Amino acid sequence: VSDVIVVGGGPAGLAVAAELAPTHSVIVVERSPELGGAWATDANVRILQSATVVRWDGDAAIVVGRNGTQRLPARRLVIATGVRPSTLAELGVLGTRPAGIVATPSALRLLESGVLLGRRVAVVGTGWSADAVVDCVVAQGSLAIEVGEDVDGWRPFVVAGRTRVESLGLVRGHRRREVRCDAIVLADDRQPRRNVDGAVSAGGHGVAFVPTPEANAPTAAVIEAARRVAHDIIDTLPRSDDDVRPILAEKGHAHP
Amino acid sequence: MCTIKFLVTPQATSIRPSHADLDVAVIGGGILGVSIALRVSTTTASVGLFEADADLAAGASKGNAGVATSYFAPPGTREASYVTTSSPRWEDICGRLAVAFRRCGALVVAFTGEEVEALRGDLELARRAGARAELVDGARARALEPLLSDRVVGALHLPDEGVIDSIGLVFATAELAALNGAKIHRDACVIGLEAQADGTTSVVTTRGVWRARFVVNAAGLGVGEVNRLAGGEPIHVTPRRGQYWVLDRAWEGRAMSTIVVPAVGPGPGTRGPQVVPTISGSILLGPTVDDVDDPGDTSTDEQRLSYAWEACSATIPDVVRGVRIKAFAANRVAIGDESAHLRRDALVPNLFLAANRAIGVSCSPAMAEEMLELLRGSGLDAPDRPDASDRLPGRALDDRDDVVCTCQGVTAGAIEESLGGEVAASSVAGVRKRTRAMTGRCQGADCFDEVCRRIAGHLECSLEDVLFAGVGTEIGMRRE
Repeated sequence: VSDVIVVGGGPAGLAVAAELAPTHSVIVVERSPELGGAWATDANVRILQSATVVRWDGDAAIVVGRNGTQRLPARRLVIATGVRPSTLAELGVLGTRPAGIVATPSALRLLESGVLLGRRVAVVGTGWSADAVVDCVVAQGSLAIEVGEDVDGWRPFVVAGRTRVESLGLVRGHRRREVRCDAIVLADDRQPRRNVDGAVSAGGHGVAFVPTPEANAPTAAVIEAARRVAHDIIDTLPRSDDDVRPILAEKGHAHP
Repeated sequence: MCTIKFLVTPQATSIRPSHADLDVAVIGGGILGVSIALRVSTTTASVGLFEADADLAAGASKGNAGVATSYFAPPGTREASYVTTSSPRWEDICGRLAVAFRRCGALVVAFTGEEVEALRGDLELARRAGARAELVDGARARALEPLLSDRVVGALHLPDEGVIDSIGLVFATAELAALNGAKIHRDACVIGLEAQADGTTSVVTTRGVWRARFVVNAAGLGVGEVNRLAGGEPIHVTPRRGQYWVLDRAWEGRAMSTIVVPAVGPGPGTRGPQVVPTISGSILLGPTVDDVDDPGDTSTDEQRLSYAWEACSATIPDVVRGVRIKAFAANRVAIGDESAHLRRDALVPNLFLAANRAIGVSCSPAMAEEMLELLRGSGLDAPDRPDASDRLPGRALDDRDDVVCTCQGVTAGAIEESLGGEVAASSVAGVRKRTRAMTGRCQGADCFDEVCRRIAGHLECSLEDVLFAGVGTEIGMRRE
């Protein structure tokens, strides 16, 4: 049994792990083959990459990856998976569902691979992701149109276009207007990313969430929030010496 | 012979102007079309299916509540007989096709004594139609579904109602039909049906021409157009739009087990929008009902979806705490007042109609069976083949795999599998329909690009040429 499983190997997840490592045994599970953020090897931390926590049973995490499905018993689960953009439904946007609507981070990775998502691209939201999308779109020679309530008070509410996106309707009070566009990128990054069944809403047994940062919060603020989550765990979860040794033996890549 | 000049498409250049004869041409790749194709494929007859869209399950078979009903219409009607015949078969059918199904039961709920009295009439009708049914009081109804509103004073309990993966059912049925020799043609829009002197029909499609002895019109919203092309009876089709909300399966830790339907809906004699605990765990609210002019109009609107939201939160108050992850709409086929239509055309002797307004899934096994009997009675000499397969071969997915869609737990292997087989996905929407990738709470924000990459890899095309759905939906636009 580990003390803590941390879902997400970004700055927040690694900060939680680093903070806990001196006293608690920790497993960090990261979906991608890479970790994000500064990392100091610590004996008490085991890292699983290219692995996905799909479920939390209250006393164990179910992890799927190239090494098969594993059940990892643990006392606590920390969700440090960051934020994702609001979906059309969360934004309250109805209408049609044509081709040409993509959300970050998928949209950003496609743009970075050279895919021309559109020539007139409506970018919904403000913040780091939206800025990065705008930069890519402009660099491709296309027009980026920044929209969203937090941009200028106009709220997107309806998509038009059968096959491809033709326009995004905006509303402000009783006024309505239409932005002609051939692609829409959802990039407001306002929603907590909650992907682990059993740890989606607050109140799951043994689950702690690194809080969703304010829009445009610097990484330092995210790391600070993560540290606070770690300290709450340190304060409430007695360390379990017995369990440290087997994990060390198992992992093999970090030695005390 | 046919002298149609094809529109020059990349596909058209490679096809021969004429194809081998078919015993049965089925037009339409929705649940009725594939079910009929499957049933015919297990006989000695040859069968081809033609779908105008880029993929199967393009219309109402894609956008429905995923309910396999046990009671829909009064006793003595064809709908009642189709439902009653089909309903007991679902465990068996879904077991053989590896399609998810759960017999969860339904509560048709009443808020007043008057509504309860009206349900007594429904109870009698349901029993006479062959469905199991009982009237329960509010307390018993809440015992069956703890999330039910305190205001419910009574309900008609239909224990045999089920939820089903209705889209998966279409693909699994088509896959089995194809394994039994049916030819499934997609992007094959029928543009002509020409009666030949020998009594056969030339089925002219955007993919080529086939000679068929029998033509089954299961074209959904296109049944009127297909009949017109064939010179058959005029059919007036009204697209009837249904709009739905999808709620995330994570719902403050509470699970719902039973389908809940208000006994009284917006119009006289109608039920209200249902709350459906789907087989994927998400909760579906709807449908709303409105007739539209344009069969391609599947847009959603605030006014009707607000009604669905209000009506559903009256039956299940906790709905308001659910997270809405998607709104969608689809159009079903309204022809006159009846729900099910299955008959031989009065004008064209080798043309047959199969249509259903609201409960296509629930009727499909029985309608497929009856269609085969009708064809046999009309001269199709096709006994069942003892060597025909009645099940899909077992699929063992390796669990040593990357998870691509985390919200729905869809692995890379499952996506690769959807890109293979007899009725392979060839677009993002195709993968989504077959695997449920991108249908969870982030709606593909995290995995859309990876799905595109896997499609590109499988089809050996460039990333920008990957199609979102049909023609003209490349994810990357052409550079000037």
